[in-house]
Amino acid sequence: MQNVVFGIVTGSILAVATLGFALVRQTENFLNIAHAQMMALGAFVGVVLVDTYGMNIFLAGGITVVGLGALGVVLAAAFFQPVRHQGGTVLLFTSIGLALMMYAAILALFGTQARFYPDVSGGLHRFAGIGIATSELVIIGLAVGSIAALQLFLNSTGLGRAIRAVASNDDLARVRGVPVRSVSNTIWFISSAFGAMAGVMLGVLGAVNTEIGWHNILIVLAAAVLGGLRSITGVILAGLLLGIMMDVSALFIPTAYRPVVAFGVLVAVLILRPEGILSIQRRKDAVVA
Amino acid sequence: MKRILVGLLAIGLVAAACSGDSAEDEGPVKLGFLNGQSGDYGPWGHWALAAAEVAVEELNAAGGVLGRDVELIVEDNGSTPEGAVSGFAELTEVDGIHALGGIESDGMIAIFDTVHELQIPTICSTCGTTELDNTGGDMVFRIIPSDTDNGIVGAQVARDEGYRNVAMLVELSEGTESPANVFKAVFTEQMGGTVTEDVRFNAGEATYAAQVAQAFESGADAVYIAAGFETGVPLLNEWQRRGYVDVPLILTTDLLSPEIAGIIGGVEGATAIVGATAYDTENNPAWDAYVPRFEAKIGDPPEIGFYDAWQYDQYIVLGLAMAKAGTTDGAAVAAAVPEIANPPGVEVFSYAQGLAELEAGNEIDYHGTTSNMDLNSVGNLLSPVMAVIHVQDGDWAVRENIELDPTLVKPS
Repeated sequence: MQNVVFGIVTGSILAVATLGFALVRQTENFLNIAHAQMMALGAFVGVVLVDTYGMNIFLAGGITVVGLGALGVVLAAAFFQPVRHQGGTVLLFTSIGLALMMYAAILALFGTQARFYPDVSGGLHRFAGIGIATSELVIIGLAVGSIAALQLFLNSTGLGRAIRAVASNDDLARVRGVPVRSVSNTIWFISSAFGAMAGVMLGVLGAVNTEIGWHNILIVLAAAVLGGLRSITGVILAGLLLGIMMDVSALFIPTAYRPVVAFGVLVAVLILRPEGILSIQRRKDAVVA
Repeated sequence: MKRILVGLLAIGLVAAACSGDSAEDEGPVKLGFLNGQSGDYGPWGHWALAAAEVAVEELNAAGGVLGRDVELIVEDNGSTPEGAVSGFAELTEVDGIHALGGIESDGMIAIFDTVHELQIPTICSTCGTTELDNTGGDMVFRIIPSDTDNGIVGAQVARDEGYRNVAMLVELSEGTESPANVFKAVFTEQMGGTVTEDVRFNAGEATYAAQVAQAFESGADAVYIAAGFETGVPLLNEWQRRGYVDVPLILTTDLLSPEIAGIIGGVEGATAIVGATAYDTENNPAWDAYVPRFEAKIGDPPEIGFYDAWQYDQYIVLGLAMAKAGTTDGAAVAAAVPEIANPPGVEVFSYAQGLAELEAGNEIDYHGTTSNMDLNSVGNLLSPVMAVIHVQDGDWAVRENIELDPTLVKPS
């Protein structure tokens, strides 16, 4: 059971990271590989604010999330908007190029030395013999809160409905007068902010190093595919499921194979259910049938 | 016409070859420093470089090597094999170094063949890899104990502390698995101890909660941790976060950093020991002369486990070997390394002292700051100085010097 709790913590971070990734995939129709470097940048900016400037972790996290959300909008305008009309493949390769540029910028700005958030664990709580640190509870709470807020935003606001319209059919949305550009900016802000938040969470639990983005992008991709690239609920469930499977697997197989579990699941899903565990398309097909 | 062209070409080639030779014998003697100034070994990088600079200053203060100034050329390998390969290429192809020092285990293995192909005498000041236990001695020399010694001394310390059941947390890399495998073999096969869990993990994981729980929940008397610094900090944060601080830790030398000492020292009642190599501080003129110069350069005295004095010793050895060989030619210098490090000869404790004896026509036996530098036939240290190191007042300190138990042998 203790490992399930570890998995929920890992899965919460993965869900936050993957949600930002999937949101761009749903609305912009490409796999944004640079998302992982936004996670790395978030981890670094957060640790610098906390460690160098002595900022409170929550304040530092908030500034990081908002600041990098804004940076995401700027980067999208500079790199993705100009080539958007050329389709998903060009956007994919542009995102790989941007990822490499962001990686180089991180190396130049922060160096290759690992950094660490000060211990913010805040003590261990025990429930029925299961231990969970305050920092882990905060991570789970923040993940649940931010995902719930996003769902509320998408379902209850005009802009949220516009995003869903663009995700469903952007040509139709444009014809119907949906402000596609401002919708796109909002999407990039949310996606980048979620990436940055996941980066700060990863840094708080582990170490902040320049490879943190590359280490996590494939697992994020696995969670996105597992969840179904067009289902937000599926992505959340997939993140949690992968996190739990990776950490529970430590009880049965050497932990060195932990990532193999994630990719084993990914391959299985691609073979057996390529549309993901919660597929909108499959449900639509079922209704038609 | 064709003959004239061929003749001119031949003359040109000869001239080019001659000019290459003269360039080789002129200008500064270039000593490469290929070291992890960032990455896992980054925390020690500042001290390591300072010690290397102290050595080069000593060489130049004594008139240089072969009457030529000595230049230290620094390349950061990022503590990775890839960085070592690219850094070594830069040092040899662009800078044209004559000898190399500063390299660590993973990097040394990565460039081992190239070092031999290019005939670059190399002293491994911080690599304990067991891969070098039987493969060095002609171009590569090691002046720090092997991970075989480190693994044995780790098991010896565990035994002497009375631990019978030990769990292991081992990062998957050459530099960390190497001593861990020896530890496990000696502890279980030669001491009859039990390894309750052997948890191997990759660096760069998002969290290590599951791995730490697996090791610390296994009912062990102590947990042996072999990891790099970048992984060690989150591991120990997890150890603290989960409340496992009552379980003693046995750490490997890669974790002898101030940050790690700070984490352990900040936890009341926590105990951590390291069986590791130490400086040769007793009645040693080399050590006595080195300490104030190092302190003047960096503002702090040498710290235990920082590998700095080995960085110093390697360049004094290389300088004396070049003086003995009378050339910077790689093969000749490499052949001279054991000659100046081993008896017979006048025991010397500095470059100037050794140079004076060599100029007087005497054989020398250099004794460095870290050991007597005596090397065996495969270029390994014969008598490493070992110690039990622990955390005292938030810093690493030598608890006692120990000798390797001669009844414990290298596992087959």
